[in-house]
Amino acid sequence: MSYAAKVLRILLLITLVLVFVFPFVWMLSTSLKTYLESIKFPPDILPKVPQFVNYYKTYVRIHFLHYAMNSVIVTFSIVLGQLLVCIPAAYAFAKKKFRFAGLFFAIILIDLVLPAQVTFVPIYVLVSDFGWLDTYWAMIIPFIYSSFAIFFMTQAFKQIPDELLDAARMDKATELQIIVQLMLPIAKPFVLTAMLFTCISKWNDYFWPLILTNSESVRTLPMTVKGMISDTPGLTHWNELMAGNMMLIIPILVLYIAANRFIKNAFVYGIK
Amino acid sequence: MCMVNRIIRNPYILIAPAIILVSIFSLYPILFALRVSFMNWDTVLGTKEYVGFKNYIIIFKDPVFWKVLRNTLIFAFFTVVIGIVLAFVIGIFLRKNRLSDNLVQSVIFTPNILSAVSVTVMWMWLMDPNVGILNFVLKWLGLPTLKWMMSPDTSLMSIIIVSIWKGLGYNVMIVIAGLQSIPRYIYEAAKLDRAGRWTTLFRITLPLLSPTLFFLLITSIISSFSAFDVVSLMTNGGPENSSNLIVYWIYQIGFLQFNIGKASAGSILFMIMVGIIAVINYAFFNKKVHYQ
Repeated sequence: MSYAAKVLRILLLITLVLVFVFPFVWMLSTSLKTYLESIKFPPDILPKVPQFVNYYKTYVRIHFLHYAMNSVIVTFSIVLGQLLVCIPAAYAFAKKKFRFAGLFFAIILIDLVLPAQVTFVPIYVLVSDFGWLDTYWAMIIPFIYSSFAIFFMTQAFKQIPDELLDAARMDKATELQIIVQLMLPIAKPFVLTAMLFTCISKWNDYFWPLILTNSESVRTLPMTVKGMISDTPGLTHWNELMAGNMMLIIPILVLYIAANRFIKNAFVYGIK
Repeated sequence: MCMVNRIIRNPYILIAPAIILVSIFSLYPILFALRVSFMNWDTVLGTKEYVGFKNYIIIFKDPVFWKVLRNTLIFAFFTVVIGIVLAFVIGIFLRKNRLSDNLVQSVIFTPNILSAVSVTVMWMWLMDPNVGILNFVLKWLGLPTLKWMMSPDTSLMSIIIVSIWKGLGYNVMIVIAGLQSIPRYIYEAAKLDRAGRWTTLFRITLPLLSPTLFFLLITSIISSFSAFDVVSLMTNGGPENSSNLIVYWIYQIGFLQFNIGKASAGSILFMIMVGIIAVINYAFFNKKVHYQ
């Protein structure tokens, strides 16, 4: 690379890091300020004395534990459900020959490209007809199936040679053993990738809880943090809001740092 | 155990849960929306009757619909074009898998894995009209301050900025994956032929990257047409519908005005738009995209 190109590259890197890191730094700094410090203009970069008490105040004020529990319950039920629904389907599509297999797979593909925003009105009507509004059912059942997970795991299962399955069958392995003890260990990275994607997108989801709940009982963390914004401009306690936002973000960031490559892959493949 | 095995040997039983769920929560809703779009269905008044194309006629006569459509096109145009051009430039500089490249890639990618709530909350704080730091920077530079999402002139721009910021990391990762799949020998051959840097960029990199860019174009257009979270969280479509986009508009009709019939007609129109985008993309670009 020429000298000019090198300088250009370094400038670009610095700009990018500034644009993408500064909002986080600012959030962290604000979350440790007193209310008066937070609305000072021109602002100070750092608080005089870090107010860790903001986190405790927010924790109590928004009933953090209740909503965090809801988030955990909903996220893990969906992951578990998707494993039970999608693995058998992916196994059948990858390794079994049956009539209309192509048609059924086409249905999965249509669902894969269709944005969820097309059907949220009828899904709301359907869920309310079932009497599920404001229950865990509404937050879980419509999502225990994922066309992305089926598509992605089908591709992974197809890579496993048929000879391996035949050998296992010769050794009198049962179908259940073939799925659990043969297919899953080999395709583990792919299954993990699909489930990480589900896990993070459900933890983050704002759209569906907004559509499918009217009361606070089964809502998850994102809507609760959003609820800290005051409807009247100027009345929001930004320092506590930022503390709440930090508590929403930290689990994801920890996961992201621990499993960086996995998560990047999961989100690059998991379009929907 | 024997029973279980007999059951899971049958492929139809294996796919049954998935197919049943996709039918209930994806296929049936489409047909349902189509049917309800011809009904006058008000969830508050409890009315429910067939009215033919009335909902569609009401929508086409509604100036708000045309404003929302215009906003959606502007929003999609800027988020898609700026998002892809920036991703291309950044991708060119970050494609080498050096430590610094990977680090910066990970940093840019972070907003992608965060909740829309987290991202918009951060930006609403930066863009606060009274005490936000962006206005402080503008003042410091001697520029007039902005009211960001509070003013009809800048609200659409504000949600465009936040959407680009959230999505850029994904675009960059896709561009880099595309760049790294271009075989090295092509560049070596170009070097032997004494192709300059710009010639190489425009005659080799860009054409060979076109399938990747085409893929990004389709997914970005569809996802920016479907944008909802950022509108709902930052502006509620306001002020005066200046930042209202089509999906949020459908949500307002169905969930704030309780008019399920008109909202379903809106959903069907939205579905047709997404379909048209996909068809135009395929028809128009299939000829111009270079496939290896």
